[in-house]
Amino acid sequence: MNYGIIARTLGYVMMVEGSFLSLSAVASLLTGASDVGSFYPPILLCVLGGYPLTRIKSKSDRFFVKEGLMIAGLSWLVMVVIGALPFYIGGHIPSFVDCLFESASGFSTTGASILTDVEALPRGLLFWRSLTHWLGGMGVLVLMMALVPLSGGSSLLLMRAESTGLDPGKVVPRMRETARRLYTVYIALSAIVLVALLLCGMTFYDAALTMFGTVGTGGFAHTNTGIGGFNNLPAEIVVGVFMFVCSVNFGIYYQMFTGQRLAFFKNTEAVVYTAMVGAVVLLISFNILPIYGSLSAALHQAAFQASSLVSTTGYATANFDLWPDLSRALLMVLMFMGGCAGSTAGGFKAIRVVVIYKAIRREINHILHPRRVQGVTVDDRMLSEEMVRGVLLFFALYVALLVGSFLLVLMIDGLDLLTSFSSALTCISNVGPAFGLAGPMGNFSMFSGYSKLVLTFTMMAGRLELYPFLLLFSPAMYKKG
Amino acid sequence: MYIIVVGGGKVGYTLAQSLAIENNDVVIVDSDDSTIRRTSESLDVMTIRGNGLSAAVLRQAGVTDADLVIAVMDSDETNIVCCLTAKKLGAKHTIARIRDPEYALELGDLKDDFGIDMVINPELQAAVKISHVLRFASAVDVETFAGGRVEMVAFKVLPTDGLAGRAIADITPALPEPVLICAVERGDEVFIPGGSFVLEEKDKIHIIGKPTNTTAFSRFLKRPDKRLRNVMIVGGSRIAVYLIKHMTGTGMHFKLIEQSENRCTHLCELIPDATIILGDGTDEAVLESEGIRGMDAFVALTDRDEENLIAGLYATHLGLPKVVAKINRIGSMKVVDRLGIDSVLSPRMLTTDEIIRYVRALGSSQDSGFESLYRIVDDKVEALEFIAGESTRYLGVPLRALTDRIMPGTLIATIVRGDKTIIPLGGDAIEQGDRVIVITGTGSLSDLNDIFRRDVFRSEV
Repeated sequence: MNYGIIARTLGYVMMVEGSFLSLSAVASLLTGASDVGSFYPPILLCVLGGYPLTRIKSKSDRFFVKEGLMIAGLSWLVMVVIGALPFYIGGHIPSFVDCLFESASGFSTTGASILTDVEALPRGLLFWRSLTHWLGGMGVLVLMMALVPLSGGSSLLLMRAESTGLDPGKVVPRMRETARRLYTVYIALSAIVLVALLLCGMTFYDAALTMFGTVGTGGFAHTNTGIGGFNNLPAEIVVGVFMFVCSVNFGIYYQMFTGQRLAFFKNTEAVVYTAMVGAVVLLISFNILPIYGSLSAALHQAAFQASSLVSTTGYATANFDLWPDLSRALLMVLMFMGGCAGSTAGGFKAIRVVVIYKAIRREINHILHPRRVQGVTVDDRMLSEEMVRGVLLFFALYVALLVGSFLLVLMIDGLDLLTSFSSALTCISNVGPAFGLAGPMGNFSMFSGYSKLVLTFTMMAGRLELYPFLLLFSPAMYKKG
Repeated sequence: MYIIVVGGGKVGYTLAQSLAIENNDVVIVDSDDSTIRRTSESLDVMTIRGNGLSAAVLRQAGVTDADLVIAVMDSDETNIVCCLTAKKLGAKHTIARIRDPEYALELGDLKDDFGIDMVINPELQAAVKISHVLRFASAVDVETFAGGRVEMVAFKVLPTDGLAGRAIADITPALPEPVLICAVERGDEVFIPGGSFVLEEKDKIHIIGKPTNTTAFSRFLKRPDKRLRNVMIVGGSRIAVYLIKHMTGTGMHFKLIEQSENRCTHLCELIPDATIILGDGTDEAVLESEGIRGMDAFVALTDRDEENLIAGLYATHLGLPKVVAKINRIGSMKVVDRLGIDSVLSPRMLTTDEIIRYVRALGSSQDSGFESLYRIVDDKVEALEFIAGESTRYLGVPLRALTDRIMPGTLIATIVRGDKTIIPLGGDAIEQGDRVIVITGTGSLSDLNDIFRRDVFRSEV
């Protein structure tokens, strides 16, 4: 294990987090909030702890799969713990477990909150809380690779550990350049959303925080009434559309920008994903038609809620917990699936659904024609058997973690079945709101500390797509050789 | 530069590695899944799985904007077709690896029609390199610069030399003819020695100078520079054929041991002058019965690295004056160097060097032209040859005045001006049109001006 490079990378991650904390401190000063003091200790920690770490030398700059997973897991753990400090230091969230939950919920772009009165939090901390969505959405390691020249060719391992989906590819030959271009797309989308929201008449502060939650598909509301409370239909449309946009592979936007205008339609995942979401929106619209009366109102509410939940953002303009069972079940299916690979969205990912569907179809063919040889192809590319097997096992592990987390929460707190299950689901998929007591109008404050820890763990594991985070707790990682 | 390497085998991988380190954008195309996986995990390059002959795949790899396409797949024909396709699709330059001797000779004329800018033949290069080493009996390595007017020769410091324990400044006045000790390899490290540097036993020293002077140096070391007459080669590979053909007329006699009967018959036809022996060249009994003890040199060229090294070690153990072994797969020359075999060479490294040289020459400006490159031990120190042009800085300024302006770890080793070969002292200066040989540990020079410190130059301007 190359501990030198792990320490160095952690140092850079801390420096990056420190600069984002500083940005929040500035926001706190500009908005005249009283909480700027909460930011100084963690910023000092990031600089005084991070800088010496970046100076650590190692014998070699090479690292392998094990180090890559370790770096990803540890970076996120450190980031979440430091990110919890501002909430704790100012005493605005008294319990440290609650702070951890809020921080993990932010970085993992879940957006589930333990706060009953969000507006009681000063504006600097609210800014930081939403900013964590933006940083967590695209990933801090990718950002670090864009900023720091990390030598060695193994940087793909880091990107693979942090990015979502089957096999993140580079858009240009150099890793650093790839990271930069993906972040450029990310920043461009952010700018578009920010400007659009400002044009809709939001204040800069509201627009920025809503943008962080939208583009990072996080979904922290910074007002008690949430996005619906602004009573701003154009803004709702902007948010609704861009939540969906940001749940599609950013590589596609890069391709579209560099000349392949039809890249979206050539990507199986994006097309299937859009079709599935469209179908669900229509089904829900008809199902909730009696509640809203007009088709346009039903369509608007169904589309916003579906876009919000499938992109794993979690903004809500309607209390979908009151909708008929069919609609709620469909929303739960969307929550499970989540967005596309290579986006900021969480969840199981549409590409894996596509692969499993094709693998099942192949299996049926195989049963009927035992001698038939057939591969699983996506976008005219045949996936290796190893990859197909990986997807199937990922499904099994994902469900196992979901069930395990659900049962633990149920055992600890004994809340009702729907609340417990949907809370576990919303956490592993990084959505935010659940059903029942933790529904769009509720929050996670009624859970005990133990349950919150379980859910924090689930959120982190869900964001890093299980392995990098789970392996952090595996003895095999720490064995020599 | 944007470079596409088609074929991710041994040479393709090494090339991509070196090119990526020199800040080129590299794309590797290969049809094998595991190769692609291994490459993408360990190198900072883009990988594309697919057939390197397909226009669609090449387009996906960005061939239309590519500065260079290098075809290093297994078959010569594939490489030719790949270059042809790439050129038609818009690649600016192409390099093909062609190994078959028959093609290699004819391609010289057809190169342009096929759209190939450079043909590279690793086996031929290896053979030429071995022939240099065989001509210079006491050296372990020989490299020529400036069209043969300057030689860089490597010697191992032996207890009999009287060099060990002496400082460079102490040795230089004692030399019969001027040569420069420009690099010293010791264990894993390479030094560019100053005057106070003290040599030790087992160091490998690289000296540079006129060929007559380097020969004089070897006499100074009291190593009998007798001509090698009898050479035993194990393994009738292509390199062996090239080598023997290349050395025809030098008076050397070759005894070639090859295991396969068919190959032996074929070899008789190809190289009638050599003695062909049917037998296992790694079998000591065979070697002894063919009189290995009486040989002047032993060259191991089988397809298996291990056999070459073992046979080489055996010959070294017998005390043969000159032992050469070829390795192909083993990446770390450092480990192999420790074995004690005089010269170990890797066709893969030679090919890579040749292509890197070409790439750097493409990247360098026109008039500070880059001529040749030689890499000493695992890429740490390089010897480069440039031609000084109009844009070269500090023309005519004595080197004495430039000490602060030259990059640390860089040495101007030789200046060739017309017929004169100058080992530069403080009073000498670089003139336009000079061939300048530079030894550097900083890496990636592609222009003579790169040896000068940029910050100092900028502050002066």
